[in-house]
Amino acid sequence: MRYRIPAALLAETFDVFRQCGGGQRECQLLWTSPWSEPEGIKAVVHPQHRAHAGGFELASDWVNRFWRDLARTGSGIRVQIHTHPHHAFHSSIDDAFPRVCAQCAGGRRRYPDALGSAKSEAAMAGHRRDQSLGCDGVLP
Amino acid sequence: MSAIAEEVTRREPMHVLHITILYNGIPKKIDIDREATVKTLLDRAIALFGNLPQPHTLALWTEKGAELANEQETLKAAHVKDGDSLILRPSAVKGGKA
Repeated sequence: MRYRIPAALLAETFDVFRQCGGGQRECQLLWTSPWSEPEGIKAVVHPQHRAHAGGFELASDWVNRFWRDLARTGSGIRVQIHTHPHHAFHSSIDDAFPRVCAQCAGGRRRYPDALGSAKSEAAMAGHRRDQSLGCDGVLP
Repeated sequence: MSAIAEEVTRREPMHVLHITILYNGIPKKIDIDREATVKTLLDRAIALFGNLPQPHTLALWTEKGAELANEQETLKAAHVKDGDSLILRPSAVKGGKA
């Protein structure tokens, strides 16, 4: 599935990553949309999480609350995104802990340098131009 | 109706639990015997939502945030009640570079 995300939500994604990660720590965001219109991303969700040397871990209580909120609002996770402190790659932890199934979400994306570099934003902005964020891949 | 059938009919409301499973914003219903194990319910819940990745990482959680961690326990012993909603989600949610 191809997803559409408003420019304001894309900007919010970068803002949160910069603020939370500070160019050094890993951070995760989730893009959600209603099941009635799954292709239109409507919200950027910033999970409660703890960053550490090996990555990050979400707060379990927060996940339970969020799962209930999704059901209450009729929404679902479409894309999960997180930063890496240095080069982006698809790690074994990424494989082992998907938030939802690939059929229910567009996939996962990782952006290098904890979004601290202009190169990262340029790469993502280039992707924004075609309004296509449906695959599971790593930007160059 | 035979005596056995009557007995089954009479006992059914007490023994069958009508459970709602929540996964990624979608509620789905499962009817299951209260003497079934947590593992049986977990397997049925995973199957209900299709081909989920890393199913061994998934677990059932109560709406109050307690994980049904003992998979060999019966639902009755785990205090799962008729009408309960359970959350299907990974036991831990991680990401990173390892």
